[in-house]
Amino acid sequence: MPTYLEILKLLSVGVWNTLLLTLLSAAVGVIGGTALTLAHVVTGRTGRAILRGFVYTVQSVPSLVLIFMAMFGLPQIGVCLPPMITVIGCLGLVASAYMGEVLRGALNSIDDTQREAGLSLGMSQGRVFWSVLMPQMWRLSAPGLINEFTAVLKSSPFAYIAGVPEILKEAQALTAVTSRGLPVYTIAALLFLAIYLVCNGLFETLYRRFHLPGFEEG
Amino acid sequence: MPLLEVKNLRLGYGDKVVLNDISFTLYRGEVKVVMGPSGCGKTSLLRCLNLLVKPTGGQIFLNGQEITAPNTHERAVRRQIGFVFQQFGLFRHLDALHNVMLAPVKLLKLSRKEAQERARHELSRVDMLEHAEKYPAQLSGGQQQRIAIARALAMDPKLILFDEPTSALDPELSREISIIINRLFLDDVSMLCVTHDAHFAKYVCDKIIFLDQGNILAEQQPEQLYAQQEDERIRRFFRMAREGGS
Repeated sequence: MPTYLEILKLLSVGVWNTLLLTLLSAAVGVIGGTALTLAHVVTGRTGRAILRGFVYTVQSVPSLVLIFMAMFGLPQIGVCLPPMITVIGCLGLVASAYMGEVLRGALNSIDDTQREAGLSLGMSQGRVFWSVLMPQMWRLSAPGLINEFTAVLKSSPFAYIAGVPEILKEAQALTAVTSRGLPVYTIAALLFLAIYLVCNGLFETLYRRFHLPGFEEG
Repeated sequence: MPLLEVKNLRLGYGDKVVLNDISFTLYRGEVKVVMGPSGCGKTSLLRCLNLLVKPTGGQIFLNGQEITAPNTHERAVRRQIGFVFQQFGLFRHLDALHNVMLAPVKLLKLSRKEAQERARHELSRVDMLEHAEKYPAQLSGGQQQRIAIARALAMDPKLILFDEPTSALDPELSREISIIINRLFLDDVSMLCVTHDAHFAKYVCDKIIFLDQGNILAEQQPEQLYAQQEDERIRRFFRMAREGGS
């Protein structure tokens, strides 16, 4: 019978993978979401319809189904990736759909006069986007992005399906050996809570660091 | 040669005529005000002048050069024409100083030090130097508008367009703006200003262009225009402006 401390020690092997998986998927989400937002701005009506279709699809199909599709589908077309990468790709795809919506909402909430003011000074559309809109878009979407990050963290255990040794995978293996399900999963839950608290604290600090006087109030 | 010459300018969307055959000139150092009832095309006129909107007909010349020509470099034209918006349009993530510095650094490629000096100079012209470190959200509407004026000035434009610069401000703050505009007038800045504030117009300009339903009804000095009796629409407009107690 392993003690709680031993369970914790065994499970924490998976913490690193969970963390890596979550952070990288979220990063893919931020980059992909930004790309989606940009594409939305520059494209025409057909382009926008396609983007919307993509977003709806990715948002409605369960992450698990996506992961299965990638696991079985990719090798068939000759693409063999390590399971970790496959999962990051899938979770990142889902995250970029959600984060793209957050970023786009933030971008649309910036009053249009600022864009016109930039143009009237002689800036190009790209310059206005880069120097005026984007810095504000990031700040305005920070709370929403942090929220999406937690969603990514919570879907990271799907990786166990692909065989990535993250927290849940370790917990399952340990339960199979010890049949002490409750303590094992309780500790797994606490580990997720710890990751959440640490990351959230980090983001909050960053957010405060870049806070501007009166910026969010209107 | 006039600084700005507008010839038979037209603007329409489908069947709707917004501007119908507008012609006027503005000489260097001159200040003209465009007045008229809401929806008369005042703002559209300004937006045509700095090419935010493409006119459907006519020509605009800046310093004798046609800016409505098809091969015009829009951004180069806009750099020479300042624009001050009704809603200020300050960049909310930048403090006053950096609002003024941004375009000179990015577009005129000034060094940060040069741009900062220039920004400080322009801020002092609008009495805002002491607020240089403040963000838009920390400033009153009048202060924000003065920074927006400094931001336009920092590009050293040949002409500044004002789109109802005082209509989002209470009378006292709007007086601040007219004082600044007058000061710029003494500095020989050429300006074209859209407003429906008759007091403000009288205080700042040489001549008023009166616009109604896309046409110029009159171009006169403020006193003459306010007192004139011939045109019913103009008379009604100024009677209502007086009764409105502005």
